[in-house]
Amino acid sequence: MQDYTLIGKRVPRTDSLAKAIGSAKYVGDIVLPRMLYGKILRSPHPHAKILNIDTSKAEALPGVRAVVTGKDSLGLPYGVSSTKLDQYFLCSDGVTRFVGDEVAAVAAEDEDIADEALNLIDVEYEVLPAVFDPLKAMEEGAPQIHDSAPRNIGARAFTHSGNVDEGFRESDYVYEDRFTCDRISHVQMEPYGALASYDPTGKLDMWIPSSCFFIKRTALSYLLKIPLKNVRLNECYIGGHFGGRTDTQAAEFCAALLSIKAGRPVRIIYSREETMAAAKQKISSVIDLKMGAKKDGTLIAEDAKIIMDGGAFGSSWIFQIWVPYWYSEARYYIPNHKYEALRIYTNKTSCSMQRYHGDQLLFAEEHMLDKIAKDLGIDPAEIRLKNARKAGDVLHSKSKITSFALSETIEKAAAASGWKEKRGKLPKGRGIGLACGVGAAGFYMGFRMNATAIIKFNEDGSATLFTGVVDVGAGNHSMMAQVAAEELGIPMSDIALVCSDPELCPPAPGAYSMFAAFTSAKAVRLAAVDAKQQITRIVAPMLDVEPSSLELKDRRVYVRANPDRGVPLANVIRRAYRVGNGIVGRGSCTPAAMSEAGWADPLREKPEGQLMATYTDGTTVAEVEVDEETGKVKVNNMWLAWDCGKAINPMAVEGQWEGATVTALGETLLEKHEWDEKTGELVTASFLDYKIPTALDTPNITPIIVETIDPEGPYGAKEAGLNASTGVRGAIANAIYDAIGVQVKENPITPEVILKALAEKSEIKRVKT
Amino acid sequence: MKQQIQLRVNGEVYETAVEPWKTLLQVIREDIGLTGTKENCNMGECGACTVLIDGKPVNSCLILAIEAQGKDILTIEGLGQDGELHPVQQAFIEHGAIQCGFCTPGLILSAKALLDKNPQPSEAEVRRAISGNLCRCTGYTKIIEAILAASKKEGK
Repeated sequence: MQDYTLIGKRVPRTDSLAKAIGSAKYVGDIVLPRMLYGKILRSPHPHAKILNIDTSKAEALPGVRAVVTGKDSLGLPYGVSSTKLDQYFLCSDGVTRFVGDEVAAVAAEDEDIADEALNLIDVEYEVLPAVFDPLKAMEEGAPQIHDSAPRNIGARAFTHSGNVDEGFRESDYVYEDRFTCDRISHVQMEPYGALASYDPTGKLDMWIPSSCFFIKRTALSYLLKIPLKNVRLNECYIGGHFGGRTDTQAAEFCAALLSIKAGRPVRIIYSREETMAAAKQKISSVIDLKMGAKKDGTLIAEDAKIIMDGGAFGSSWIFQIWVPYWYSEARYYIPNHKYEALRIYTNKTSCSMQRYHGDQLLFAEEHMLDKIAKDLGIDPAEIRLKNARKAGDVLHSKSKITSFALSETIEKAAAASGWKEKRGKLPKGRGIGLACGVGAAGFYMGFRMNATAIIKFNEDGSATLFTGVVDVGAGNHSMMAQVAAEELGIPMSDIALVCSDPELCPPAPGAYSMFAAFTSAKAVRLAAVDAKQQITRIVAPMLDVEPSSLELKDRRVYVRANPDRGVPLANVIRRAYRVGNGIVGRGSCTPAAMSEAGWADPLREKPEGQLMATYTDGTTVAEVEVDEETGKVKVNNMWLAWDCGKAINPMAVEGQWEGATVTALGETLLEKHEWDEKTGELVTASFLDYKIPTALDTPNITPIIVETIDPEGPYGAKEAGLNASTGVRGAIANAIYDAIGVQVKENPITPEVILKALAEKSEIKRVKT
Repeated sequence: MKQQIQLRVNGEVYETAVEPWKTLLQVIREDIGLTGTKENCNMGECGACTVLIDGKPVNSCLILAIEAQGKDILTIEGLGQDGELHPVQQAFIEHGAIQCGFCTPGLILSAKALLDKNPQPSEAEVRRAISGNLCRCTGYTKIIEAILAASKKEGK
């Protein structure tokens, strides 16, 4: 394998110093001269018509500089996809659709005055019937949330391969059961917010914690009718994303409207309660799953039907309904496969992407697989090895898997965890479980999949790298510096980064769609190689050698065969300027598989084509202890054997997986939202009521990086953002099964769920033997 | 009605007029302008606003600025000395314990308070000491590693 100076090394991230000393500025830390403080008035009703809004008393309050309602906007509808525009900011269509829906906003000299002003706004509502349960929302006669969606079915995915009925007839054993997984809050540690500064010349400056500045800029330009070039999204540090910060939200919309109206900068920072209840959440799922297998453990058929509670608006509905299928079909070869997902509107917080959506279906599949293995007397690791997909496989969707190591991850996870010695052999109340998962670098995003990068040089040999990639906390920016430094033979500290801001940077998918390594790092590598070629063309005649015989390392350009013959890089940069040929590197790429294979239109039934640019895969093992008296589950150890392609920075990869795993552990065991059934209010919108894992809840985690070299990814890299979260629910549920011999069909697996499962001696139902 | 107060933050005295209901967090961020101390839940649940008061970690959102007079307040900006990083800061950087960074200042200060009191803590003691500081990015693994590594270095 090729030896690199920086690639594959555990290098400290470039952004960590500013964060360690407290100088990193997030949106809430930025103060502009004459800045006002904005607040949003939210609907107390889950579903109501707005008859009238009287803002006169609020406007008259000293210190209030602007009040806006839907009437101050252009009243345009918004959606993540242009095929479903169903959200009217500030309820400009006159209807509120969840408790917390934005009705009006104020800007004042300080937050206290802004709060007081909200109390002075009189809103006259006509309360409409509301519905919170997706199954009830689908019934005839249920309250209609959007006119365009009869029975509140906002979106449907449907596809099939082979013949499932035939497959179940061929199967020796068939299993069928219902699983439920609750809604989740992303819980980015930074509260959501936005700062807007509108200049009367028509230029809007904004600071927003967003996962893709290019997508957000386009949405704001459209909603506010300000030309794209006049909307600037400035770079700032971002305190987490996890799928929840791609959608345009009321914070930026209201801050912009208020700034335009007041003629002064306006900053809106959500409270933690607003961030949990009114920003975004992750869907809940009711999953009806049926699987059939031969006596030897060969999987023959699967039929999965999911009903998702999507909340008030469509958001990124396409990915929400399709991602479970994409990840389901990529793990095991099951010749007969049927999948249907319905995303239902309810009068609750709107749901966006959250980490990997597929994890809820994967929980059901992986847990059912352990029941099949038990009945057939096959080791759970063996049944997975028997059915695992391999590199080169073409999936039902006609997506090709180019690099894949699922079997190797099963073997490595089993070996590291002592699987053979522990499975079925631990004392009662303790157990070990294993589950496989899948991730991917990137779904189709049209021209937005393109990543382009530019590198220019300073006369001292240091460089500035321009890339639209966004760092929401995962280390994307540092990764770009690492790649450029590798190619240019300079330390990472010689590279200044200008990122995210579409006014300064060439395009990139941002941190969206797990594309940062696969496309943006590749574009940066190409830009650096381009610069390197320009540099060697200038140096070659100076040293009377071929450009290809030159090497860049340690801030020098030298002859590879004779390292003493060389020139400092800084001299070359100055010479290039002197001779009128300044060095600027440029790189650009779009995932080849998707641009060539074309896109499977998700609006069609049974879409076929390359659905994801490349797939990642892995195996998670959990070792648990279950208290049968209290029902409490404690996860003591976890092993994560995952494939990320080439690990550009193994320390960063491990950090991503550990974080994804612990979040998923929270979703599996702890995190539960409660809604007031009468008022539709979320009553758990605080850290006190919505329990995310603390340092006392987390197990010892052993990450095991299983590298594959992807043919297309830079240095073979794919992604390591969130994939490891897809194996956690299954691994923990299967470990509980090993520990106490019963199966759980709901997430979170609270003590009540355990006690109920014990009382009922619950196992997944076998319907054919 | 604003009240004139004196606060000693990172060894420097700041004199400012604040409303008596302003929290120490608000005054540190808005009046003194040190934004390394992060504002998040405002209910003492997340630890992002942790500062050290006379060496003890405190959620600065839960204490009024007027109550903090006459005490030594340390924020993340005051941690390094003479341009050198504190060993905990250094360890956080070297061990990949920082991701989005929003919880980082609070965690580093909680860790410093622990090591000042207990220079060689066990892993369980580290976990307990930072259990009031929520992090959603890292899963705590690398944070715990970093604090244990800093304790070993300091112990030498």
